[in-house]
This record gives sequence, C-alpha cells and structure tokens, in this order.
Amino acid sequence: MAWSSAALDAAESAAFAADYPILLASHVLRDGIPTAYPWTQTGATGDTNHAAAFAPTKRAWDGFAHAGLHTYPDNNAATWFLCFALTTPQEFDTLVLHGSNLDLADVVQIDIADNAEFTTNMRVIWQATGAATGARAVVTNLKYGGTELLRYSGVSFLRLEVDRTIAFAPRVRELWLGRRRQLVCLPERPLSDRREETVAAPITSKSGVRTNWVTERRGAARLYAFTTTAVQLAPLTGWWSDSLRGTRPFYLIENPESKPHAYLMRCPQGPSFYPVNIGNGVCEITVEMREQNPFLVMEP
Amino acid sequence: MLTITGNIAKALASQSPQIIPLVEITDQDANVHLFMGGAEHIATADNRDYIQNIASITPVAVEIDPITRKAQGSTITITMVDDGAIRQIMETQPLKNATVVVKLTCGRFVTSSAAGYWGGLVADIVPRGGLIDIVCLDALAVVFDYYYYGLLMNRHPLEYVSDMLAARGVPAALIDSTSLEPDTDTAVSHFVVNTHWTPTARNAIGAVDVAGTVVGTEDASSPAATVAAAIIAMTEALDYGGAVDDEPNSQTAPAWNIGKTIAEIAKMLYGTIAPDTAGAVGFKRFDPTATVVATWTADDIVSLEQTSIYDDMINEVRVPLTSGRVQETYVYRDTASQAQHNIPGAATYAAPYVLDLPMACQEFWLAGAKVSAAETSGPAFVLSHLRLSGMCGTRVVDAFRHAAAATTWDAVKPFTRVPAASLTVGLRDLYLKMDGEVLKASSLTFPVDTYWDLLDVDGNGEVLTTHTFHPTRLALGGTVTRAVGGAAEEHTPYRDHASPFYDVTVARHVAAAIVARAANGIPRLTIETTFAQYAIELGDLVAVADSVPMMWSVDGLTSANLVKWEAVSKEADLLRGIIRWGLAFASIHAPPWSATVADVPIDPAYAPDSTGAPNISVSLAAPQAIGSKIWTVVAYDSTEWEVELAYDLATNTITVGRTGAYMVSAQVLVLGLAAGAYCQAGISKILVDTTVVAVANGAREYNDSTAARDTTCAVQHPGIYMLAGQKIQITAWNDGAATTISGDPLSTWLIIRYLG
Repeated sequence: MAWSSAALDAAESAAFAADYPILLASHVLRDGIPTAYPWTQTGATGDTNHAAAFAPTKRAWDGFAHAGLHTYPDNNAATWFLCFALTTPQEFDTLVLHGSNLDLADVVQIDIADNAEFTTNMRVIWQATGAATGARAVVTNLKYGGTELLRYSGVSFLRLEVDRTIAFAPRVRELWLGRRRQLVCLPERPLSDRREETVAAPITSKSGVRTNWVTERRGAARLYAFTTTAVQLAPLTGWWSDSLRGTRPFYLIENPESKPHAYLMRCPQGPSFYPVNIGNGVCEITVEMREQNPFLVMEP
Repeated sequence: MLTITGNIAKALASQSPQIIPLVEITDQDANVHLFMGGAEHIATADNRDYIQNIASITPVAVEIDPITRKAQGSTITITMVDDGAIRQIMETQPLKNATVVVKLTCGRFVTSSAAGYWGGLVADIVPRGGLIDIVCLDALAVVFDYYYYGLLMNRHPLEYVSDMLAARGVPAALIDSTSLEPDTDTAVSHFVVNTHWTPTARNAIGAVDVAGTVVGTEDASSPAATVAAAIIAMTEALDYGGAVDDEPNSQTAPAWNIGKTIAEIAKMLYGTIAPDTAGAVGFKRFDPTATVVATWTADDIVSLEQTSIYDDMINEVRVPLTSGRVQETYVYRDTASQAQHNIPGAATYAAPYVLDLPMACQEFWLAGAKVSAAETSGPAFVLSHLRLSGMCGTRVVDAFRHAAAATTWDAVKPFTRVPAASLTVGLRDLYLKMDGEVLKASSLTFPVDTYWDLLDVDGNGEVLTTHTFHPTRLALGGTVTRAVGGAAEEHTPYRDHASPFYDVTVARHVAAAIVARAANGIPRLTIETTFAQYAIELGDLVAVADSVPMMWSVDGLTSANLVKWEAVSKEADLLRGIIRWGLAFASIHAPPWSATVADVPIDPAYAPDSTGAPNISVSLAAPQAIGSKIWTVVAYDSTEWEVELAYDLATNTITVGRTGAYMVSAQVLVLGLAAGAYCQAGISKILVDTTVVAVANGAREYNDSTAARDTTCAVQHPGIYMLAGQKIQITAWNDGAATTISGDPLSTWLIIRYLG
C-alpha cells in the first residue's frame, strides 16, 4: 500500500491558523504495532537491530518520555536510523519528538516510504537541525518541501534519521506521530493557561525558622470548559476515543501555529467525558488535564 | 562517618531544599542501572542515564539498643512507575539480591556531589497497579538468620564481621573496610584463643605423667614433655592461618548465625556495628569522651520531647556463666547507686540487667588430673586444657603489646606458631572467675617455668591488701607433677578433675561501661530536625541546646546545657523532609552518687547456695600439725554453713545424702614450709565400704625461696560423682619437715556444693 497525503480541511486549517489548541492522543507507532524496529546505519527496517543493551527501541513508543527512559544504538556513528515497519498503515499529521542528546546532531529528520528499504516513494516529511530540535521538538506542520498542512495516510514504513559529523549515539525518549484533534473553538473557561502545581512541605523550627521541603515542582494543569455545538464537540469526541476514554497519555498543544507548546497530559483519576445537553443542539462539557513528567516548563 | 559534599550540604541547609533521590542498582553482571526521582530536567551527560521514574521511597529507619548495642536491620521500599524499565532489565538479568544504593542530590545536580542515603540488596519486586515496588534489605538484614561456617579462632572480632558479611555475599561497597580494619582498632588488646575446637583437639595437650610422657591422649604425635610444650602443641592446633597438618585431628566447622554473632561482637566491643548513611556496615566504639559532631539549637529542632528520665536504669549487671552442670554468675554492681536509690525500708535498690555474653565468657580449665591407675609412680597433675576462651575485645588503656616493633594486628596476633621462649601474650589485665571468686592476673606470660599470679582485686582492678578470698598462684611452666594422694587408684577422665575458670575480662569491661552509663538511668529524647542534620550517623554524639529541660536538667541531676547524647535511632522521611531522632544520654556524668564504682561483689559470695541444694563450708580455726612426707587428714573445726550436709568432727568427713555430682574446692595453707619443699592438697572419696579413693590431688606448690615460707596449696573438682552414704575427706601433703597447717578460716577451708 502506498502512502498518500492530503491537506487538512478548511475548518481545521482555519482553527490552526487561529491558534486553537490541539489534542493529540493517537500514536502511530503504538497503534500501528511495529513488526520491526531496529536501530540501523543503513536505514532499512530489515537490518540487524543495534539497540544498546538495556536501551530497547520499544522505549520510543511506550508513552513515557521521562528522562533516562530512552533508546540508543550500541555504538557511535555519523548516521543512525531508527526504523519502523508497521503492521497497520497509519494516518498522522503531527510530531512530538523527545530526545536526550539530539541537540548535538547536525540534522534530524523523519522519512516515510512504501518499502522496508526506503527505496520506494521515500519522502522526507520533516527536517531540522539538532539545535532546533532540542529536548522536545513539536511539529504541527509536516509540510517539508511543501506549503500546505498535510495529513499522511497509509504509512507503513517510517524512520528517524540523525546525522552528525562527529560519530555519536543519538538518544530518543519518545517518537510520537499522530493524528491531531484540532479544536475548532477556544475553551470558554481556561481559568489560566499558566496554571502549575508544586508540592512542598512547610517545616517550622522551634525558633520559628521556616523552610520548604520541595518534593516536586509540577507542570501544567488545565481545566477546559466548553459550550459546544455538535461540530465543535466532534474533535473532543475524537480525542476521547483516541485516548481510550481518557486512559492514555496525550498531548495538549497550545498555540499550535504561532508558538506550539506541547504538554504531555493525562486525565486525572477517574476520567470522564460528560457532555451535558442544554438544548438547541448545544452542550456543555468540562475537560480536566494534568501534565506528567517530563514537565515542559522545566526544560530549557 | 559520612562526609557530604559542599553542594548537597548547602542544598540541605537552604531555605527551600529540593532533594532528588538517586537509585543505583547493580545487577549480577555488574551492569549499573540508574534511576531517579524528582522532575528536574535532565540534560547534562552526567545525569542523562538516570531514568526518572521513582515515585516514592519509604522512610529509612535504623536503630541500635544503647545497652546491648544490637542494631536493627532496615528495609526500604522504592516505588517506581511501571514504565517497563525494571521489567526490561529482568528480561536478561535477575535482580534478586542485586545491590541497591540510594543517594541524594539536589536540583541541577551533578552525580559526583551526591551523598549516600541507604544501601542494601533487592529482596523482592512487587508490581501493583501501574507501580512497581522494589523491596530492599540493608546488609544487616540480609545476613540475618544466615550462617557462617568456620572456626572463630584467635582473630580480631572485627575481622569476623567483615568475613561474615562477605561470606553471605554482601558486596564490598556495603562493608566499611576502614572502620572494620583491626589495625585501626587499637583499643582491642585482650587476646583469647578461640571459642571452639573439638574434644579431640583438646587432647593435644593431654596430661603427662611424671616422666613427661603423654598418657591418655589420642594425639600421640604430641609428646609434650612439659606443660609449656603442651601449650605449644595446643597453640599449633589452633594456629590461625597455619598449616592444616598441625592440627591434631580434623575439625568440624561450626555454624554461626551471622546476625546474632555480629550483634554479639558489637556487644562485646560495646560499640555500634550498623550500616552508615551510605549503606556500608562499619564499627564505631561507644566513647562518651568523643567530641560531639553537632550542637542542635532551637533553629535546628522542629520538635523535642523528653521521653524518659529513668529508662534503662541499670546499677547491677549479671553475667551468667555456664560450665556443664555448674551455673555461676558474674556480678558487677554500683553499690553507691543502689544505696542512693534505695526503696524506703530497704537498704538498697538493685536495678539488675542480665547480660548474656556466651561468646566471651566461656570456661576453661587450669588444673591437673590423675590420668592412670597404672602409674606406679603416681598420677601426674599438669596444667591442662588451658583454653582462654571467648572473643577478644577488652578495652584497655594500652594499645597492642606483644613485641616492641609490632604495630599492626597481624604482627601482634598471639598464639601463632612461635618458639616457646617467645610465647608471650602478656602484660594485660585479665579477669578470671573461679569458684565464685574474681581474680585478676597482674601479668600473663607463658614462658617455661613461670607463674601466673591471680590476685584478689577490687572493682577498679586494684589489688586488695585485705583479702576477701584466697590469692592463688598457678604454675604455667615446667613439670608440675605431684605425689600419690590416695590409697587406691581410679582412672577418670582428667577433665573431671579440673576446676572451671571463666575469662570474664570482656564481661567486666562491658558491665563497667553499662553501669557507668546507666546507674542513674539513661534519659531519652525524641527530636525532629530537618535534613540539614542528615549526615549524622547512628552512634554519633550530639549536644542539644534547648530551653527548659536542657537548661535546668536532663535527669534531675545534671545542669549542663550541653551534655552529650548518642544517636540511637534515626528515621529519615524523604517525603516530609524530617528526620526523627532517638537520643540516649551518653555523658558519663558525676552526680553525687556515681563518682566511682567502689567494689565488685561476687555472687555467690561465699554464702550458702541460695537454691537450697546441699552445700557446706567448713574451715580450720585452730592450727593443726602436719607431718613430713605423709598425707594428713585436715581436721576442720569450724562450720560456716551447712545445708543438708554435715561435717563429722570425729572422722573429719562429710557424708553425702544424695547420689549425684558434687563440686569440691579446698585450700590448705602450710605454715613454714621448708625451703625447696612442696605441699599439696587432695580430695579423697570414701566409699560406703570405707575404701578410700583419691580423686584429685591438686597441684604441687613449691617453696622456691631459700628460707621456710607459708605456702598455699589448693584442689578443686568440678563434679565428683558420689553415691548416697559415701564420704569426702581432704588431705594435705607436706614434703618438708613437719610443721603446721594454718588455723585461719580464710586460708584453710573446704566448700562442697551438690550439683544434681
């Protein structure tokens, strides 16, 4: 099956241009069930896997992006490919890439193709310098070489390529490609788009000296409230489905067009999707989200 | 003690410390897997490999008993997010018993500045609902209830600690080899032989007859012509590190419970053997004179509670001693404290504590034995079964003293194979207990033809000029044969003719340390501090400068603000940032009543057996003539007490009413013994048909001077088997000119005790 691409529809594009948030719960590597997932220097998915001991490539799609839980090859080279052959062809339009040392690379890119050797219909769909990639690359516009917002479908072979003049072993915490759920309206009550939580225990000595024992400086927390039409509710319904009813982690990407911030979120304990119909085809719904490690604000 | 780096120290003392736990798990193939808690961004190469998945770590709780010094092994549970990291390791590497080291660092850390927090081994891994618990035991908990197989022979006790931990598989990183290095512990200089060898090995120093020929021994390869040679033979048999063929026979390695043995060693050394903050098991001797490592003020203290004034009040320590059927007790008490705390209407108040020191207070024998009825020239009595048993550990003022050039433990280790002439272990205080008396060896040397003076001492080890019991001189060298003591001969195992001695040196020092600390109770404090005090370890001394309780008094006696406290428990809670300390009063203070331990009463102190078992004490009050070279029956004329046994003045015998074993001790002071002559005491058993059987003839005591001199001879028997109706009689031999037996009840006496 050959992959294809198509522009996002007008409503999505307009909402994107308006910087409405994106919810990204689908994860093509997870949902596509990789049959081969080697680190190679040739770029073919059928080659020997050079993943280092205790750093398996499964870590690239386990949904955990925290530090140290990364995959990397077992030796240094100027070019490394992290290749995937998927059982089920996938559809995606957004990329979030967590690396540990990709900032050292000269070039980081994503390739797709129609065969395991990446010789048929291969296309580079995103490319950046390592410095631009940093610890977390958020790409909401996979249009490398083009101008329009593209959604790719029927993709069975994809790979991450990392090049560096000096041989090294690139480290990847999470490679997340997925189909976005583009909100077509803004939440009515975002409360605060800078809401954060910190855990600290106050300690007071007998003489009155006070200290704070800091155990965690947490990231973002969001409580979105919507009054939606059916059209506006559809992206939320899709996100709820993609996240297996709020049980899987997902990204909340705020300001996706101008300055994308991707928070790795989970629904809090006891997730619910509870639209309340208030008549005239309108319903109210509240979505609560809390960021999990790694916390975006803690990254440089 | 742990020394933490400047970065972590500053972080811990800061206004808003954010401490990050690091966990390092080393698997069986030495792969090191790194994990961390906290949510700091990880970017540097230094910390890139730490998987940031630790959800929580349970508080670390460690504790020692200030009296027994027993340390509790600790356990922690490290809870990780079930992100697959642990599962993936276990695909190829078992993690059971993998080494776990927990460290602490601060935000924006570098791992080189991390400080130790806890160390141990993985005991279990328990997945539960998205989390995985890593259950870990520290090194002491790991070795608990495991066994060490080997002979504890003549080595420094701290060496055993290292060896036992290593034998159980505790990694070297969790053994503090520095503090367990014998060479650094110069306070130990009381040497002993061992705690175990087989009866066959004992025979290596079997009795010899008058011609110096070994008899009654299974070890024909040890022709010990002299007692000294016999001792050498024994030491070769026990030669630690020596060739196996020196051992007289194969020995069976005993099993030692590692946890209990380490606890025993800590008790005998009166110190702390516990994991430090880095998880390494080390040793720290309790020293109330040590400098405090911190002085806590109200700025440091979150809460303070004085929990006890009289907790653990001990003014009398009782150490059980066991020798077969004989049960004795060594008692060390502070009589001044007992008088000061007396219950109204009573003279004293004893707050006793039973201190078990099974490894330190084992028996040994110093006596002779009749070994063969066939010996025409009479049975031989030799110094046999010299077994200074138990573990070394006495603390003395002086350091090692063996040879002038010896500066290390290995150099001074005694009883290694050395020529007889240089077999010297001496010039150390050695306390022995024999038949209810405590004796102190003012010197202890083993060259040939020397004596071992056992003196009557007070509680401070000073020789008394007014004796409460009977000084004894034991010959340790040369051939010390004695003449026939009875009309008939009976072969009995020579061991039965020995009197049990106990090396109570360690017991005395430990008891003294406990009484000195606890005679007025050991006040306790519970204090909570921040983690700024985190580097303080168990056994460290701290001072507490706080308001009312400290300013006025700790225990109603001391008014000092800065008395010393020993950290005896520590519970560090990473979630709360609080450390909860248990402190025990450590200062040896000088309130009115405990300035000096004035006396060491002995129990039983020559009083009737409190159990009600048959026993008797008689003595000679009036002088009695004794002929030349003839066994003379001692005609006792005074009775101190009689319990179910009676002395027959007409026959000078004691008839026993019960069949069983009787312990018999007797001493005779021969006045004016001729120069060069010897005297001797003997025990005769008189059968119902009046046949006289000599069962022990003591040891010859020579007058080595050039003039006549009063000379004491003694005989002991730990358990003569008697049938009801049989009699016991004491005889004395004077090899010089006719003279007189002293009529002093403290010099010529007889004590018999029914053993059952």
